[in-house]
Amino acid sequence: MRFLRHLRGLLREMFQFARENKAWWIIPVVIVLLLAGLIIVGVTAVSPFVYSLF
Amino acid sequence: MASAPLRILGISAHYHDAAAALIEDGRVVAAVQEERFTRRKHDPRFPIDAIRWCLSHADGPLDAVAYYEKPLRKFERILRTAFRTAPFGFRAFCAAMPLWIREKLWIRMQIEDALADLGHDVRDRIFFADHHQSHAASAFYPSPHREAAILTVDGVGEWATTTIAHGRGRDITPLRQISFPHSLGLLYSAFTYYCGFRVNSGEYKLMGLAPYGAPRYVQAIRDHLIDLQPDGSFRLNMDYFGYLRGETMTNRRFETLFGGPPRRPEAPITARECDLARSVQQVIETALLALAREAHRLTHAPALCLAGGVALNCVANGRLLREGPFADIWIRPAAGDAGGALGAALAVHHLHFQRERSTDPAATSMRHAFLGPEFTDAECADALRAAGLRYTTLAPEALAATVARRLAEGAVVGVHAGRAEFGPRALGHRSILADPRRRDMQRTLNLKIKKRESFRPFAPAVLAEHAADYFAIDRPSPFMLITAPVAEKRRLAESSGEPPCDDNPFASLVTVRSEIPAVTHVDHSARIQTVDRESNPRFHRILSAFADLTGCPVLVNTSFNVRGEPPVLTPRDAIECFLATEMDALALGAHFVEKRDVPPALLSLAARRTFQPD
Repeated sequence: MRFLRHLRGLLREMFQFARENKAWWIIPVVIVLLLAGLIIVGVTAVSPFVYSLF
Repeated sequence: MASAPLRILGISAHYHDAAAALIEDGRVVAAVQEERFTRRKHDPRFPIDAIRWCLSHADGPLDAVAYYEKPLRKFERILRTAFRTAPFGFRAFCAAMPLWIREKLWIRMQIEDALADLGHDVRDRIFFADHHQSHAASAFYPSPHREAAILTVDGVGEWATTTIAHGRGRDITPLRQISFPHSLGLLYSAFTYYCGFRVNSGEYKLMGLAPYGAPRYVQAIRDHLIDLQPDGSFRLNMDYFGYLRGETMTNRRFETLFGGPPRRPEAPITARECDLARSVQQVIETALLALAREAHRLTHAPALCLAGGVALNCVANGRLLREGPFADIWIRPAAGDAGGALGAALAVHHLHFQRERSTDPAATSMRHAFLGPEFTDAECADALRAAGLRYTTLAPEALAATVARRLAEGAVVGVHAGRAEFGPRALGHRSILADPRRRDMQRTLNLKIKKRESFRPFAPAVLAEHAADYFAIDRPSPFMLITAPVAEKRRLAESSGEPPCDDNPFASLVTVRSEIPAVTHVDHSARIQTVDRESNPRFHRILSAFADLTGCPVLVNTSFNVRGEPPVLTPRDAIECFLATEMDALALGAHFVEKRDVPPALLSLAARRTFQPD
């Protein structure tokens, strides 16, 4: 339940962001990435050392 | 009727220097970086220990939580950058995504859960400030100025890399913005990387290296890398940088321009690195001066407040003060991302809740940076006993006199007292002190105590009332964020007119340049901390006792840590650092320990400790 509440919150924020910034493209991209994140569970979360992709 | 005081927790995390800060009614109650607890330098992880400690100082429930940036906006920038550079940068993109998908996009949930575990329900009371708004707030609100121009310069936040704003009363009005990928912070980081130092950590080494070199590459940088306009606006030529693809800071074309591949970490430093450091430093200073002039033209404000990682460049700050258009500049002690935690909380307090600032900011401004944890004398004694160390307990005056006597004898003394500093500088509460008059002290401290490169300069702490007698500075510098030249009358003839040497850039290290050689850099500059009795009484006592003994009101002051580690926090951290280095004595709370009294078995055990490169 808690996760679903936060997922709803994230999607709401994303829609709001997309509307304010006219960046509708971000919605399918984030949804695909979230789904991929759910599927790929074994990837080590290591961040690159430079700024741009952090 | 007066409104009820607001209690706001600020958080910065997930990039570098995670931190938490607590404000009550606009007053800073507590602030600390996560690295101090976890002992991992620049720890970016969610600062749960820092939050827990800050909340232990809260008198009641939280009214709000402020996060220092807007994750979705940052994520948009990352996605746009990835699309722009695709298919290059795919590896770095894949490396970054798991963290975003699992943690960074869920920061609201992470904050709610963490605080619920600590007994605070903050649902629907979490706010997100802009990254540069957090910086601007952290610079302006704690300053003594009712009106000021605000300049924030860093690597990158969401999109902004440089902003000019106008602060008046409780309002901050944005005026100008330069956006990613054009960034002075990233330009400096590119040279940091190219010179073989770690990005986000080695920038201050590059700054320290600059005076050993000549500005040979300034023209090349101006011609090829950055188009700098008189109004301070600039664009980088991305043909020379690799960071858009997220793998390296510079690329092959950059290497061709500067005559070879990047220096490997730990390889010897040559004249080329020194010249590159000097050149990029000069370009950054020119850019900052132009930005400051533009900020003055736009605002006509009497003072400048400065924040963002580039504001930690104290050499540039010194030039801004001496050559810039402002009568005064004010820089926060934690000007980097750690300070963003405090800035976010202050931004929410003044901008969202619309609470007014003090009617007399000069009286209520932030005068010290001692906002972190402290330990009682009893806790210090417990730690000393647990470590098997013999100690003497002394009254404050006697302790200061003992420390001063040992310093005058040439000893290196660690001092751990009072609340820890917030920000990267040790200001006397977690410090290693030494006599600056000794010609071999810089080398001794670098190699035997700090376990780092011999070229690294050390900073002086000076009694505020004697600062102008030793340095060309006419105002307080309590946070060690401004460099100024050593006063002419304190310089020695031996040091005049030495040009940088191509064969050995550090040959001039042995030259005695002034009466206080250990804190006089090759160009006679010094990164000064002025110490006044009111805001830093413990350290003032030690400096005064040293001045009484020797006639010199100056000490070397460097952070109490070794290479690759954050400054010590607890008494136990201090004891471990004391045992693992060649420090001669330790003042821990009210207790004093001599290294010569330490059992040899303990020392040999501690000597096995290894140190990470930083």
